[in-house]
Amino acid sequence: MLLFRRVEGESMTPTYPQGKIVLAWRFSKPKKGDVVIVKHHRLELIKRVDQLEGDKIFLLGDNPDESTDSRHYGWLPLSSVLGVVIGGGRASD
Amino acid sequence: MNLLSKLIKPVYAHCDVPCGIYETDTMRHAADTCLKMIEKIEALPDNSGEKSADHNNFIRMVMTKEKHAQLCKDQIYILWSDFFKPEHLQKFPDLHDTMWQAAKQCGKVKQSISRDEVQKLVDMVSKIASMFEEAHH
Repeated sequence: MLLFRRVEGESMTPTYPQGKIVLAWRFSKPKKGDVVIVKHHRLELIKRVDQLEGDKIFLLGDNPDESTDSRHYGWLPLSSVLGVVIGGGRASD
Repeated sequence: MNLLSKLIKPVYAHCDVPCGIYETDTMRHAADTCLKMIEKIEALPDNSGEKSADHNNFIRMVMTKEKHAQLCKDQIYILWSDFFKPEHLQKFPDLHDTMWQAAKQCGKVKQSISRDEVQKLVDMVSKIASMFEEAHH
């Protein structure tokens, strides 16, 4: 199943700037380096998986100066992941 | 943004507040104000004559020192918790101790009328300001 979302905010710039439409696979298991959509405090967030340990993930924005992410709210449960953004992996990872 | 994209549910790539708005001037100014108050208290004529105007001045200076020591502490806490990030710890391994000791020093400035204690705070705040500058590069 696919999720269609519109990016709001600048924490994923330049990869996913404000207004960009993203597509994500639901029920897909994220890997380190993937961009994911997670549900946190009733909001859906888009961030990159920086670390993955057991059933926890640590998320970072691609634009750390304008990102509120796991550096602030800590590790999130893997179960908070709603989908993995298609084409979001980094070539270097 | 066109109508079609507005219909698509947003996903937040957000920051809780517009961030990057940090500065060290307020912290420096507050520490310098405490130092100024000490200088003024030291310059007061002997209080034994019970001159009420002097007394009034003395109390106002202590209150100003109290207020600015707290302001300085608040600014240190903001930089410590919000501005500095885990990656800065690699650059400044003594970051936590520096911030902690500086916050404690604000308390010592409140508790005493000691030029030495205030001078220590001014020096600590100056060190934090240098770390802040370096973290920006």
